[in-house]
Order: sequence, then structure tokens, then C-alpha cells
Amino acid sequence: MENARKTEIRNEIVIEDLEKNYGGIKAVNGLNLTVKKGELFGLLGPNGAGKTTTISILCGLLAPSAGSVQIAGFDVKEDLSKIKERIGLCPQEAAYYKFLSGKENIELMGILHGLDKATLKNHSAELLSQSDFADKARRRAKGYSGGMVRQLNLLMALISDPEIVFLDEPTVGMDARVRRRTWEYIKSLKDQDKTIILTTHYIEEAQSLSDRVGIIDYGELIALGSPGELMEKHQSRDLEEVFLKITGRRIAEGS
Amino acid sequence: MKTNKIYALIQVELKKLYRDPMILAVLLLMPVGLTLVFYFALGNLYQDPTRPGMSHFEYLVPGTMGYAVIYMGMMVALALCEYREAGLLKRLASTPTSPYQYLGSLIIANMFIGVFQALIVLLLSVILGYEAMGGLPGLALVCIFLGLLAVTAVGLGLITATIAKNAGAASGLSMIFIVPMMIFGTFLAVYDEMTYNIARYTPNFYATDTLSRIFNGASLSEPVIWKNLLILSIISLVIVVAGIQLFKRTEFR
Ligand SMILES: Nc1ncnc2c1ncn2[C@@H]1O[C@H](COP(=O)(O)OP(=O)(O)OP(=O)(O)O)[C@@H](O)[C@H]1O
Ligand SMILES: [Mg+2]
Repeated sequence: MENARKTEIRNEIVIEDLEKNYGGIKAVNGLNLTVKKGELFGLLGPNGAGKTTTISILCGLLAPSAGSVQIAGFDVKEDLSKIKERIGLCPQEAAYYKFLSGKENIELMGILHGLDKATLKNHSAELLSQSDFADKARRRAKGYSGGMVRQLNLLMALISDPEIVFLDEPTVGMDARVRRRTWEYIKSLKDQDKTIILTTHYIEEAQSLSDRVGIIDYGELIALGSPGELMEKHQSRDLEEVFLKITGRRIAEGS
Repeated sequence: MKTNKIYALIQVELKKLYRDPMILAVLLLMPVGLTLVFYFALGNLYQDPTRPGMSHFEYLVPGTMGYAVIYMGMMVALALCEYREAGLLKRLASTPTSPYQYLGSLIIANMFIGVFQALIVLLLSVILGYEAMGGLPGLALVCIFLGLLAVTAVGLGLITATIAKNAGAASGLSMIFIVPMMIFGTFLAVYDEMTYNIARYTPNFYATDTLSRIFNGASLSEPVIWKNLLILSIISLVIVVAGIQLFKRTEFR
């Protein structure tokens, strides 16, 4: 087991022939993908493409219908608890206790990740000092604005200092300034050698942050490469044009 | 490490109580209101020939205490549905916290809350003239029965939250277990032969029956009390295990 971990350590996330069916709907349809350690991977795709479903499977929240997933060398079917110790999830829908303060919400996630008191205090102080709402962190989350809720949602995912981070549309609803700051922040996570999967509908965000981008549609991977490679291959000025070209093609083909 | 998680999760449930004025009001109004209504409506009713000198209000005190605990089942079902709709259960499930740790802390928190509510009923009744015998050992035993009843209530809440799709459906569904338990296990438990036989199938009967005996001065070594304890322990265990097994499949894997 330990040996297997070491040889695969460069491939932090390995997804093979992954499928998820909801009744007749194939939300994920034969996905193959490898994300390297320290890589920031942008997972793009139209609404309903299967991004959130994929992330939920990677976090062990959904059982795959078929295929396999390995994270940090551990299989989601067998070693889920080892995986959960290493990941942080920022869900698409902000999930927090309204009657707790922002700080309490953040620290609760740290406790549930098993941080000891001293570490928790340090991480919490550090995170809050970098965030925009340090001064409001003691207020009940119930009164937070939409953008503050999104920041809280992100910080809750990061308090445990996870090796692997799943960010499902982390910047939705943030104003331009906060969003830029959050981008900088996500970049700094990359510098800490964290492996990150980021989904977003702000394609410029994916373009500026991602080492590599995968575009999925109808649960299938339809493009993969660095933003530069994809723009070159599809003769586009920016990633958004690539996105429109290749996701539009399927609609035009009527498939 | 583990105790730390459970302690933190218990604190969350308790904070919810004293920070959300609505929930606190519901939780306090119910036992206080019910006790006052029975006192003013039935405090002067002495009809039962088998219990000379005991008003109907006094007869109802133990059952009302049990009812205050059972009612927690609905609060738990509602809370779980809300957490689920808010995506909180998924979020907790993405951390290295087991469903047993999470649901266990929910059970412990609600044991405190349930017992506390029942003791409000008792305290208020005593202030209104109810004479509870049994002393401190009796009270300790009463708390054990109430605690077990709270475990049953949480179990029923878990089952309800498993079946119900949302909080609205959960409050309706809860009535299916609350109403029969209220009518038979609380108010009619020892009314006559027929209601007694029905009541024996409600978990809170075993608490109501025991509390009545203790407060009326029965010896704590009376075999019926320990038989009741055994039965209620088994009921609460079966229901809470069933509840945990069913509910954990809805959000935890
Ligand atoms: N619980 C569910 N039951 C049935 N179908 C579902 C369920 N969850 C997701 N789906 C379907 O699976 C497909 C993929 O959904 P998913 O949420 O993964 O998309 P997404 O790429 O995250 O979209 P978005 O950009 O809108 O967030 C959609 O067709 C969706 O309707
Ligand atoms: Mg999504």
C-alpha cells in the first residue's frame, strides 16, 4: 500500500472510466482524468455538464455507478476516511450554520477535521487576517451579505489546511474586487503545493489560474490541456472562445 | 480528538437553542403552556375514585413531562431536514467525522434538552402545588427514564427525517407518532383497561407509569419500575439504532 502510494504520488487524483447515472440521466459518462500533485486544474463545462457530480464522487459524497477514483493513492471505495482527512470541499451551494458566527463556522470545520486547539487557533487567525470580513467574523452568519457568505464558504473549506482542495464555483456572487482578491488567494494556495480542482463559469478566472483545463459536457471530457494549448488548437483569442466553440458544436450537431 | 468533535457538535445544537429566539420560545412555551393549561383547566377536578384526593392535573404531571420529551422528536426531524436542505449534512460528511459521531452528538444534545424541558414541567407543577415524592434518588431515576425517552424521540425523529423530503412534510409526519403517544401514553395511560392495553405499546407509557409511581411515593426497589426500565431501554435502543441506520444512508456513506 505504502509503495503504491509512493509510485503514484505525482498523480494526486486518478479518475478512470467514471460513471454516474441518475435513472436515465448519465451525469458522468466514462470520465478519465489525472490531476498531478500541486496542479491547479480547471474543470469547465456548461450547466448540468456533471462538474458538481464529479466533485461529489471525489469527496466520497456520492457513490459512482462505475469506474474508479484514487486520491492521494487511496481508493474512494476503500479508504474514504483517509481521503477525507486530506481534502477540503467548498461546495457550490454555501453550506453553514446561520446561527453560528463566521468564525465559529470556520473553526467547527477545523475541529471536525481533527485539528488540535493550538493549530486551530493559528489557522483561524491566519485565515481571517487574509479575508475581507475579519471584523465581521464574530457576527452571526445569518446577517451576512451574499458575498460574505461565499467568502465564509471558501474559508470553511481551507481551515484544515488540506492537501487537496475542491472549489466548486467559489467566486459566484463576489464583487469584482473580492473576486480578484480571492483569485490571488487561490494562487497562493497553489504556491503551497496544494492540488486544486476548480470549477467556474468565469472562464477568464480559469484561464488565469489554471495549469490545465478540462472541459466536460454531458459527463464526457471533450477538451483537455493548458489554456495556451487549447487556445492554439482551437485558434481562439481566449479560453471563452474555445469554450463556446467546442460546447456549441455538440448543440449544432444535435447530439 | 474524537471527544472534541462530539463536544463541539453538542455545543452547536445547544447554541442553536439559545440563539434562535423562535426555537427557544417553542421549546419553553410548550411545557410551560401545557402545564399551565392543565393546572387551570383540571386543577380542581377530582373525579377519579381510584385516586382519592388527586386532581386530574396532578394525575397528568408525569405524562406531561414525558410528552415534553417526545415532542423533541419533531424538533430533531425538522432540524435534520433543514440541515439537509442547507447542504450542511453533506458538508459534515465531507470531513473525517463519522455519522455515528454526528448523530451521537445530536442524541446527547437532545437528551439534555428533553430532560431539561421535562424538569421545567416538574418545577412549575411543584410551584403550583404538586407534591412529588421520591427524593433525590427518585429524581435521578426519573432523569434516567426521561433520558431514555429522549433517545427514543431522537430515533423517531431520525426515521421521520429519513422518510420526509422536507421540513414541512417532517412536521406532518411527526404527528403520526406524537399524537398516539400523547393520547395514550400520556393522558389515558391508566384511564381504563382498554386505554391501558393500547398505551402499553407506546414508549412513553413506561416513563409515565414509572414517574407516577415514584412521585406517588412508591419504593424505588419496586420490580415494576425496573421492568419498565428494561423495556424502555430495549425500545429506545431498537428505535435509535433503526433511526441511525436509516438516516445515515440519506446523506452519509
Ligand atoms: N440528485 C440528482 N438526481 C437526479 N439528477 C441529478 C441529481 N444531481 C444532478 N443531477 C443531474 O446530473 C447532471 C449533472 O449535474 P451537475 O450538478 O453535476 O452539473 P454541473 O456541471 O455542476 O452544473 P452547474 O454548472 O449548473 O452547477 C444534470 O443533468 C443534473 O440534472
Ligand atoms: Mg455544479
